[in-house]
Amino acid sequence: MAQQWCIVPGQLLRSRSWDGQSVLYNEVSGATHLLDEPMLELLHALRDGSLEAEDWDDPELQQTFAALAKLYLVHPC
Amino acid sequence: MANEQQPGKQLSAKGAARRRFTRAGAAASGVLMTLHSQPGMAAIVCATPSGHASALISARNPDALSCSGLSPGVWSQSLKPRGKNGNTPGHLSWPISKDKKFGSLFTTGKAIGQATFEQVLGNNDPVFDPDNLGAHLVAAYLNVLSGRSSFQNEYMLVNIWNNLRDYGVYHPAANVDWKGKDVVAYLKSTML
Repeated sequence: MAQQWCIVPGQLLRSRSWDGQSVLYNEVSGATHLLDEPMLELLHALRDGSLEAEDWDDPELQQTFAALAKLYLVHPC
Repeated sequence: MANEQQPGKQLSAKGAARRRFTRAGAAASGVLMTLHSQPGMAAIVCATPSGHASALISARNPDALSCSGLSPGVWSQSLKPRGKNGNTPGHLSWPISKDKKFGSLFTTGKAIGQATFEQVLGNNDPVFDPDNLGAHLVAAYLNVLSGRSSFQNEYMLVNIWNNLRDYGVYHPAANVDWKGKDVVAYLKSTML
């Protein structure tokens, strides 16, 4: 079964967006990330439970989540 | 096409999200840049050259995490023996031999190519190493090998060198020209 990921507790996903890009404040690390729009939408979908089995099986998404985990934005759940 | 919406069939919000992420989102998106705020220190920009020069360039791999590169001076000093008798090794071990020739990685017909990494770090002669570019590339390379700069890699640094060597300019993004001093400024921003 594919690894599923959750937003790290405490992350509020506070962000501001313009022109297809967003800045996201990382509540855990204190860093500010510059993201493109699909990435922020992906985090929102994860928070809202909108991802489905097909998403978890996607190796590219798994790679993306693994990278986001290193930023303390998501963690395995 | 299998992914096209059937006429008269409403695409669910979840379905739309799935299509977006799997078909385009994950592959094309990323964390473009991370600005670390550390108490008592200046903010440090951790980014690839393209991300540094233009936030519009997407970093395919959002693995822009480790941003604790050491400066040329620190790498150089780290080799100096310590202790009263000078018989204690330096405080930092190098990931490669200090005697590696600069030109074995950053090829050039100039004198710097025959110098070792240690010598390049210790030579501030502006003729030998204009803008201290060589020293900063050596430090950046050591930072990559030691895992201190995970957002850079060896090929990126060699590409910067080759472009500056051959054309006198490096383009981190379209319509952005970096000369040697610009590259050094960028590399400095990735070091503590």
